[in-house]
Amino acid sequence: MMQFIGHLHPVIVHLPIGILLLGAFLMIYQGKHDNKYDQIISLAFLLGSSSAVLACITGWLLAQSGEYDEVILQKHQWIGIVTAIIGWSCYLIEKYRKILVVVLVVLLILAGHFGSTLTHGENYLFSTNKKEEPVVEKKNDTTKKITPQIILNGKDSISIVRSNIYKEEIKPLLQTRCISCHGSLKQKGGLRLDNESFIKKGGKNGLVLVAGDLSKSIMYTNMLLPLEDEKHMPPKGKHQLSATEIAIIKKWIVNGASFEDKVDTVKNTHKVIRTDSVAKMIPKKEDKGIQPAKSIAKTIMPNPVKKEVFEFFKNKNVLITPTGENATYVMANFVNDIPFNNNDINDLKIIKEQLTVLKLSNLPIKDIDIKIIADFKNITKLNLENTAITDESITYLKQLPKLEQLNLYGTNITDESLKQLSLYKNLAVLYLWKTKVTQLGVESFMKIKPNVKVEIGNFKFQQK
Amino acid sequence: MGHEPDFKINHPDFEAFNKRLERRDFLKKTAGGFGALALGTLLSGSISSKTFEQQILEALPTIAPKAKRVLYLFMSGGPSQFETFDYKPMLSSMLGQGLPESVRNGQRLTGMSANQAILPIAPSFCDFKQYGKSRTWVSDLLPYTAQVVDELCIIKSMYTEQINHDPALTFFQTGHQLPGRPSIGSWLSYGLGSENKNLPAFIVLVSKNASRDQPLYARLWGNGFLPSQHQGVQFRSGNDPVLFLNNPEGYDGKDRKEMLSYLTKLNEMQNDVWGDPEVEARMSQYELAFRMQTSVPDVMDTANEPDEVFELYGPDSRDKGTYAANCILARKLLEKDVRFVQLYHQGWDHHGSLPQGIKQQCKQTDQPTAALIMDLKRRGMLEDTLVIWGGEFGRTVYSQGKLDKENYGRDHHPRCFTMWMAGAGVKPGITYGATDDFSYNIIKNPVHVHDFQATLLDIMGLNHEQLVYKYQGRRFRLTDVSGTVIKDILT
Repeated sequence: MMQFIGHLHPVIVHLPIGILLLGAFLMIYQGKHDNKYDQIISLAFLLGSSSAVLACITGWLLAQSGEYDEVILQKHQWIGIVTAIIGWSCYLIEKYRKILVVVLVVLLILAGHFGSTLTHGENYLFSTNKKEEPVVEKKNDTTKKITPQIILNGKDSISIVRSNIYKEEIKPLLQTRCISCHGSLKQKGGLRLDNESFIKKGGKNGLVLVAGDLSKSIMYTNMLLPLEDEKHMPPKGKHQLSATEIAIIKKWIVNGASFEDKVDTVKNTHKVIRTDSVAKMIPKKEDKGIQPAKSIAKTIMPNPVKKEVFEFFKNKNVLITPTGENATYVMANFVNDIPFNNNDINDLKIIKEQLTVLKLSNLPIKDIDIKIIADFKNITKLNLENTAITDESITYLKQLPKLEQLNLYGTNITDESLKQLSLYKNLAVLYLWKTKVTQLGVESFMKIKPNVKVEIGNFKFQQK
Repeated sequence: MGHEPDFKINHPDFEAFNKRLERRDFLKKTAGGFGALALGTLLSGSISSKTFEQQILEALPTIAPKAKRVLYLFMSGGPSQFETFDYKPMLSSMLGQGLPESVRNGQRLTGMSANQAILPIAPSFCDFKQYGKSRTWVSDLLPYTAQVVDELCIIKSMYTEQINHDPALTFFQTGHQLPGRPSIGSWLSYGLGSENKNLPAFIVLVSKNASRDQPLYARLWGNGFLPSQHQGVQFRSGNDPVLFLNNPEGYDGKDRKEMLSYLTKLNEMQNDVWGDPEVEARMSQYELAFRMQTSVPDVMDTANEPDEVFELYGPDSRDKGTYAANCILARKLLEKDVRFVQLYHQGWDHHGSLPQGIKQQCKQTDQPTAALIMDLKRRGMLEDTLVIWGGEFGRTVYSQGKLDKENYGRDHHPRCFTMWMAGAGVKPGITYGATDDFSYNIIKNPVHVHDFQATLLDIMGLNHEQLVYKYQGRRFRLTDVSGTVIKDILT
């Protein structure tokens, strides 16, 4: 609501300008001797200064958005407020009205000037180009198509994703932030940024983009200069790029500033490596490419964990941290959950799709708790060391298709578990120190699973 | 792009900061009405609602972390590379010969040896053998480390610009030779927060059995300009690991809790008025200290460790406060998910009587260090813990003062020295970089202190160029304005 009122500022602000100027104009028109318009003049100042107060309030609300240059904003704000005060003085103090009205007109012009600088930019007033509308090209929508293709071979699948970082990310950014001065209508510094060849050509001072080299890419380095620097882009007073937008451009340049389509193959295990336009990799409904079955699409990537969910676990003293960029996959740790309540494991069901690493070390958990965990299909690493679990747990965990690392040191498992573990498909690392497994059991396990790294903790120093 | 602003602001610090802003705004709004709110903001002149830190954090491209914890074994004083890892057999026939000018090439010397008439070469008094599958050369002074050498990633080409202890130590710990910047552990606490909320994220242990030839200062684990809850907390040896943590006489736990909750209320009032981050820091420190009253005695008590553990770590390990005992404590702290544990062992500054001195140093540290590696390994912790061993610089090939085959000294040498890393994120059983026949200059793959710090942050999932803090009008980072991640040693 407040925001909406703020947005009315550009409308309301013209009322005091018009009405107060009318008052001033009537005073000149009336001349020295006649006084038949006095009442109308007073009314104009009353209405004008009232609307000026309204403009101040709406303007202040609009400023809260933080989108404007602070220094100019301060000037505009204070001049606006003083204008309103002088307006009221004109209405109330008839004796000095003639002097006050001169001050008022000057202030009105100044306030108006700074206001327009805020919306149109610093060079608007004396610029030669009449039209400054950014040219929005609709026709290259077709290039934005991404074709995900899923190839399935048993447990994993591979998607082929066609993407174009320049067209999807960079071009829209340049369109909105740069083209008004560096485009077809205006070429400040001889530079155009509206298509590939112009960007590569650079401006009259040379190249602005060197693929892979940030320090030589002036179009990037100029964005980092302090706002006060005359070379800072976009110039002071214009809408600035956000830190995220700058990061996008940085990443693009570092990765070779490619204008071409890029074909990625993505192996759809939990270890999806995020490339530049990963957000686009998640197949969308509109895409005309080969549609994966719904269930497969789901296993490719679950939804990121929501902030409220993080908050929920935080209040329960359960530590949930993302495993990488984005909160798509998370790890859970109960180190702060004191005293531990076995029911807390049940809460993990909320994030069962996203949970990949689970640490339950040194907790009073039992086999029955493991039964719940067996439902968290994306777990790759599980810490169960120093717990009271037995062979029974290992039979439940067989249901975890992606389990790679399992820490069982300090538990009561026996050779029976090793037999079960030899059926685990993706197991790669196994910790068995201080368990009841035998040398023989480990040896026969190793015969079946020669590639699993087994740590039995039998290390002893050779004494010197 | 995958930048979700709503998620990126999940760091506890920023959440706290956000809440405070909201609370202050709310108070102003309700207390003074619309006009007062308007005036308040007008006068302060601040319009943008997003803090600089928030913007930074939003743009932070997080790298999937390879390590969750760091254990830094700091060998303070500058251990000699000639008697540990950097084997230079050619020197054995050059006892007493002057260092060829072509090697030194006019490079500066310290004030301690610059006036020597000649710079006589001092060959290492100890033998070297090859160990492990990697066939790595290790000195006879490190018989235990030699047995775990296949776990280590040895960097022989470290260098620094600092030639004396304090600036070199400060440089290593904070990225700048002058005091006043945050230590590595503080940066990690700031960037990643704490996992175990009942213990500090950054804990320091100093050996009591070292010869304290060069001093250590608490500022080496200081928070610099970061909020003070990120400073390292030193746990002392003995019965009172954290001073004044126990209840004063005549208090019981309930009294203490009541007193602290009233104190918190007072501090909150103050914080609402001033919004000074240090008030928040103080509150969080009080709260942590209260929780530590139960968590610290628990973690510092090694009485329940089986004999086998003490045997593994060596005879010193039963004596609290020694390096060996600290190694066991370090492991226990890491088991509790403490983010950054740093051990200091002084006494490596051997300007004279080096053979005698370094024998003693190695005897105190060799077995516990190797034991720690294997202990972490069998518990499955080495895969997500990064272990670092090293000093602030190396030592010279030439002897300082008297020289004979069994007795000599070595001066500071910042141009090359050896460190090792092990565990999460680094390749095991490799040696990186090389020095010339005199271990005077680096001939292959030099690694600067900032490169080391950049690599450390990378392993922890942080980009060293983007982990910044704005202070006194500029953005600061651990690696100042340089540093390259050494990708060759990463897994």
